[in-house]
Amino acid sequence: MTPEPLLSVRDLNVSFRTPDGVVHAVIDASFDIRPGEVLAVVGESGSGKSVTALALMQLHPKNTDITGSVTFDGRDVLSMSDDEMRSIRGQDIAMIFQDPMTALNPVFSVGHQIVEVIRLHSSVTKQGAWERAVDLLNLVGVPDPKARATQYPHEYSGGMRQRAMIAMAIANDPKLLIADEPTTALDVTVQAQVMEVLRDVQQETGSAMMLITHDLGVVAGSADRVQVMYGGRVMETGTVDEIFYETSNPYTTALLDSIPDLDGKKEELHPIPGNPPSLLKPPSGCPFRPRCAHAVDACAESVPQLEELVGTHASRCHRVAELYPSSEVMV
Amino acid sequence: MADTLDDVQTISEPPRRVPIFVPGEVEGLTTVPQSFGRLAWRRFRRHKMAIVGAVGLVLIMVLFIVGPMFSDYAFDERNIADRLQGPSREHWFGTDEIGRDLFVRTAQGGRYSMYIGFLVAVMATALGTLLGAIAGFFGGWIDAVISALTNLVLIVPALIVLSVFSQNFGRDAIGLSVVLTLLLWTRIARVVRGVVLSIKEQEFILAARAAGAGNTRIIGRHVLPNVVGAVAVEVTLLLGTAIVLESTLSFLGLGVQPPNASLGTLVADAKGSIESDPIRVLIPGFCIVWIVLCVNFLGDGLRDALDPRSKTERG
Amino acid sequence: MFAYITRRVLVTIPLLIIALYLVFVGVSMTSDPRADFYLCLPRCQDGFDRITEVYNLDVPIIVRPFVWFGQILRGDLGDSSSIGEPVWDVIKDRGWNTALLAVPAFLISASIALLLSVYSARRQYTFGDYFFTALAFIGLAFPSFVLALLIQNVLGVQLENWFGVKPFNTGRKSGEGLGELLRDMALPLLCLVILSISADSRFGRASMLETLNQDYIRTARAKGLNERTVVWKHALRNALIPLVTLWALSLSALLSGSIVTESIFSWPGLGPAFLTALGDTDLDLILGIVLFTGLITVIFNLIADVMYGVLDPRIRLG
Repeated sequence: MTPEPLLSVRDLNVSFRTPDGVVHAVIDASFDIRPGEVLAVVGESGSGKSVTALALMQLHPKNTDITGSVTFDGRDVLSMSDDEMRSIRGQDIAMIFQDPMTALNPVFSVGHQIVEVIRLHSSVTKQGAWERAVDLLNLVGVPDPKARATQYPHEYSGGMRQRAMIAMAIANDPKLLIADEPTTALDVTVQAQVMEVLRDVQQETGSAMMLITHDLGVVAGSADRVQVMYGGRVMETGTVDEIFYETSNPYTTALLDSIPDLDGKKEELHPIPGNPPSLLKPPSGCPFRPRCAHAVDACAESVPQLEELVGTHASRCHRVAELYPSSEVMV
Repeated sequence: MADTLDDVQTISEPPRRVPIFVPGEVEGLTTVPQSFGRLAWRRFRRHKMAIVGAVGLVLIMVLFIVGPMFSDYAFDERNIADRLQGPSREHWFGTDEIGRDLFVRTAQGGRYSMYIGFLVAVMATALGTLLGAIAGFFGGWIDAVISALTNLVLIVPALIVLSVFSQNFGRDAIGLSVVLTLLLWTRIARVVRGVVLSIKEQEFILAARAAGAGNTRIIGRHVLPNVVGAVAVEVTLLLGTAIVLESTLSFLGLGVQPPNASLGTLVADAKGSIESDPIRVLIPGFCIVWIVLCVNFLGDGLRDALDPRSKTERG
Repeated sequence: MFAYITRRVLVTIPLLIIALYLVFVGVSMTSDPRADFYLCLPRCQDGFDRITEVYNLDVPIIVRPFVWFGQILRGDLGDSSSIGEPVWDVIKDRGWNTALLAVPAFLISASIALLLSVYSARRQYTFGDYFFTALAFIGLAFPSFVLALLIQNVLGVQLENWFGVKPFNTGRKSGEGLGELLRDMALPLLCLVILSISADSRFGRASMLETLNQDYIRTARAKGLNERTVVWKHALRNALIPLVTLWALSLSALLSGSIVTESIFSWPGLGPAFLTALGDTDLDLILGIVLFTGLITVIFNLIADVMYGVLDPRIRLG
């Protein structure tokens, strides 16, 4: 009944070789993204979410070891040649980066950069490509697109730059959009606007999206499914409703608790105590154990498995049955 | 001038893209905050080139200072009968045309060259830091004047200006050092000014004040570490440049004058007999190259160790 | 842009004048063209008076430069006492020789340095990178006179001793036909090229590396561009901005004449002329050369600034 997943990641492990040792940035990550689906990947800095995205597109730095399998549209990504990978990038999978000021080349006009990605993957004339670029800018809400296309990135405002990046990403109707913290570098007032553009664009083009963010507020309105990562591992995954209303993992609970309540109902702030784990020397057992209010001895002995609960809802916790009895269904 | 290093850009290695973590204590729960100094020292130690540079420098200085003690000959002792000999057991580097032992003379010249080099480095650093700090701190017309001064110094090619002034005013070590200093202070001044300017605007200064820190504390704890790092790197470059310029001037006859000798004058002396005895030219020349190479290695290592940008990055 | 240029010119010209003034006073303070004449007075009173007039020696030192300024503004650079020709002619002839070395040296070293920079930056931490880095380090550590003597001896003299052939002349521009000219130029050119490449390639490598680490390079790759396009279009275009500035300064340094290299190879350029002038205290020629090289520096600095503005749209369009 459910369609074949567009993207299928199994047991993904990404580690970097550094002079100080091996950094395990992503550990045993497995997830699917179906066509047209929006998966939000949530976590703090250093949780491995961006690294996952870069690994999918093979954009990682050189001293990286990747194991596992990544299947996109039926093809094995990790074993692809450079040429094959390049034909996918910008065409079938496109990425929107975090800081549009540094992600756009300052010496080429915005229009030129969009035209470039169009002409790279299709045999359109320069004229045709330019017209399409202007259309795209219009689609994402850049005012006066014809004139703006000839301008340079530094002449755009932050929000407009991100819109331009979005335009560039959807230029070739990609099947999968990866948005890596698209609003983090923007002013709060602009964040909502850009998210709206992103949402609209995704719905219109029907492409799947992997939305990486540390902002849970962004997730609620835009995503279908959520994946919570911590210390390089997937801690919990499920639909938006399941994650927000049937939370089944201490980390996710703590994360939700730590959001300040603007309605003023909560009195104190509840930050998560401690610091994110060192990816160089990860704590033994569950990565969240040192900061978990519900940790017991078993948590230090072994890493809990990602257990299936209901349907696609899964959680990684030794005590999931005790702590979240309503969610647990013995499969 | 094309053959001086006055405009050589600093050699730099940008920070690596890879996350570099400082291993923490227990289970990665907390990382021990490493003080800036310790972090720098650890990374300095890891930078082999810098160690090589430091060692090389020490080695040659030892050679210059201690070496002659093993030779029986004094600096200007002449044995005309032994003149123009090649290297031998008696005279390790041979003798010159009036019979002076070349090993002792080379050591002497080396010491003198390094003496002038260090003198210039110290004076230029002092002058540059002072002017740079004043310019950065006060801004306004003071800054404009000092910046104009900087540009003034750089307007005419270095060697030309140096030639003119050292011929007239640089006959002795102090004079020569002063002339070189007046030309070389600008890079340090520019760096210090930049650091002071950027610090002035930084929020951590405001934060420190808000936390109640007084001026001394702010300068000592916050301003100086940033300045020292950048300046240390420039100083090594300065030392290298000073030594090259001094030896070039001396080679041309415009710097160190007899009876003093520097590595430059030794090369000039040996130039005449280069076809028959090329070693005599190569030895002092090689000494200069060695010194500058070591100084550059040191500078590169310092830069890597002290550049706060290449600290930790999270994936 | 035009306003910017004008502003820069208005600022640097006074500085040049001040520099010239200082040089004038500096030289005048410690030298006296009449030194030889004191001994033969009162016999050579005529010669004495003539020199006094030519060099305005009865005018106080601090005022004398202005007389000279007035002279140059009228187009009169004076006569060279050491070479015996008008200063302007000397500068023209010698300057041409210097340019003959400087321009090819610049073109060759700039292109090679660029290729090395790109190569080193792309293949960072490989053997090739370390090798060229080591070469550059060594090249930078050589003072010009040591390098020149080494080259002259090894490739000039010793080559003949060992192999009996003399492909390169060891000095003097005899100018008898193109072949001879090339043989004369080869060694000093090599010397200048080695020195330039050592400096330029390190800077270029650093610039290129910094550029390659920028986010927009990752974006370019994410769009599916091949590595060649990423490097030669996206990266280079950005790295070129500071590089062009370096080129302007490099060329300006080369055109100012290399005192040491030209002297060692007996190449009749501005360098040896300057040394001769210094030795004889030929004030007019000294000042003429200082003025010339100062102007070149100022002009090329200006060119560098303008290029920066032209190449970087952030500056061009504010």
